[in-house]
Amino acid sequence: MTAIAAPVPSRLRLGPTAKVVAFTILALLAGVLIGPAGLSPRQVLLEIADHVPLISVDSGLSEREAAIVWQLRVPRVMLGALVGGVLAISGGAFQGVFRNPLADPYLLGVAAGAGLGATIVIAVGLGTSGLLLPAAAFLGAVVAVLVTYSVGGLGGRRNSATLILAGVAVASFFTAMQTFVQQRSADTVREVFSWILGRLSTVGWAEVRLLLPYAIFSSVVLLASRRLLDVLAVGEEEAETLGVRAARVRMLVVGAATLGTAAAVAVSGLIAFVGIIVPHGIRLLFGSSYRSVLPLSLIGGAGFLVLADLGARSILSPGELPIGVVTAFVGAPFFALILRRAVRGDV
Amino acid sequence: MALAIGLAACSEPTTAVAQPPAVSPTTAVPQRIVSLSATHTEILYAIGAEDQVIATDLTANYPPAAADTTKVDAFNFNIEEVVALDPDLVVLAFDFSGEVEALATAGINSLLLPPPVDLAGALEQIAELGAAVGRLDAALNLSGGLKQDIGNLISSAPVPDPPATFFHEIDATLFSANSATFLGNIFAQFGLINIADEVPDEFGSGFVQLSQEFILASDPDLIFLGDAAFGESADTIGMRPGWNSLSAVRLGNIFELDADISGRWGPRTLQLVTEIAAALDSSQ
Repeated sequence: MTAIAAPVPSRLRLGPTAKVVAFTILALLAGVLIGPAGLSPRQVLLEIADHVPLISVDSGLSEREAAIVWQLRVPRVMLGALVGGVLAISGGAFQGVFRNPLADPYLLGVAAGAGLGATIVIAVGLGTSGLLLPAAAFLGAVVAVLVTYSVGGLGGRRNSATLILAGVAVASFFTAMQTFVQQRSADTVREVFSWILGRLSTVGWAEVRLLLPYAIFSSVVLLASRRLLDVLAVGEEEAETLGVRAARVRMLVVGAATLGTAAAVAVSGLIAFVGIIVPHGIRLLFGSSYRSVLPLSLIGGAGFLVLADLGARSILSPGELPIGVVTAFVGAPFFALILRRAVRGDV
Repeated sequence: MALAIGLAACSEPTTAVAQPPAVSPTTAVPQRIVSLSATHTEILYAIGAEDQVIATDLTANYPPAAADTTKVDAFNFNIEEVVALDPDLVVLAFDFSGEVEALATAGINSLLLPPPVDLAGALEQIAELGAAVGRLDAALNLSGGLKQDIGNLISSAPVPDPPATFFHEIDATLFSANSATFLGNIFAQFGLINIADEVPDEFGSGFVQLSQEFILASDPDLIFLGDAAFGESADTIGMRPGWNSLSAVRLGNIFELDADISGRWGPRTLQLVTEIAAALDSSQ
């Protein structure tokens, strides 16, 4: 693993911000306008406008068609944006705080812990609907990271390397338990895999409401830490000499990113790759200063996941693909293209 | 992972290809049968071969006496575990990880009876299994009775005009079985139109995942729940976002099907057909 080169601190610039915002707005619009029901885009826009305060228009949609827009598409797009934004900014923050390009928000065991919690709920027959599943996934994720922190800090020596190694051990252990539970409950294995591969297919406003406070808290803390991450990127000892308390910053950033990621995973399952592709894509396209990487990852991650979800529900329409398959299948070549251009010096 | 997903479908008939039985020719009637298939365990008991059965799969829960036999985990097949039981015949519905070859190597006869795609295939399996365990007459009696009773039920069921559409939910992730499966074929015999048939099925598994938007746009007349044992019901369906706009929800046309019965193709298919006919009778 190669540490990320220290970024050249630079302010968030208008040009890149406008491009990323435009991309995400287009993705959000596409997400709301396109779907297997084949609704007229004009009527869909009117239906959304009708829900804006002080505006009253007749979209001409039937009650069921209106429900498709307002109770399925809009919350699904909003949740996709929230999950994508949180995973991307958390991934960028993890890469900064651990100075490791392969770091993603699942590094310290969040995915494995959430997977175990979700699998137990599904395997004992409590179903996949309702709030018990996200609650169990969230609890599993938080417990796994707490164990990682506890193991990684044994003997009072806690640094990036020991934390990462502890994360690997804890993730392996939780994954083993998850696999065991899953194997003992063969008739629910399809539901477990549906969750593990990520799903936005059955979400509604309840999931949006669940995730929103965590997403806001996590994003605000991480955005407020972006300058400290620029300082930390030159090295922990160097940062200390500049007055930055590296251990404290790391705990704050990891805590906020973990909380946001755990909440995102709890409502959407395990969506791979977003936390790596998006921040690296932003870094390669617009520079590596965390003052740009984190806010642009938040916005761009939202657009990326909404677009990936559009693919998930369009490729086999009217069927569904797991969104995690799309993020990896589409994201990996896209990322490779950016990487290739960067190596050539085109970006 | 692919194996695990495939095995997840074990509770439902999936294989469309009729394969020749893998049983080795033998003249002796088997007296120590290990059944690694819940469906075929039900058939063995129904044709009076229960005294020949020494072990059954973990999922074999019917008839209740089958639950008391020695248990073998077909999901995690272990050839040593099976050899230790000293069987003279092993009955299987799936051969995911080379079970048939492993049994042949160990010198054990096996009979592979994969999920059929229609009732005729299921009835043929009853006869084939009966012949293999020395109970052909009982098997023919069973299959003949089933054919007649099921035929009567289907022919006397109300036929909606225009034909009614339906959504059968396997689990809350909205997986459904299309008409290429045994279960889908049963529905089709009632003249029902399966909305899952519109979803591409590239690998021909018979199982597809639908989207909520597609289900709402299709507005099926009837909804059959195969996941009632996992907490789904008319109430939980009605609480899903947007689903209360569906005709089936408004009219109460939501019917629970026993997941074990609808996922197997044995003697209790008669009960499945009875449940569907009753649903059609009581639907609005």
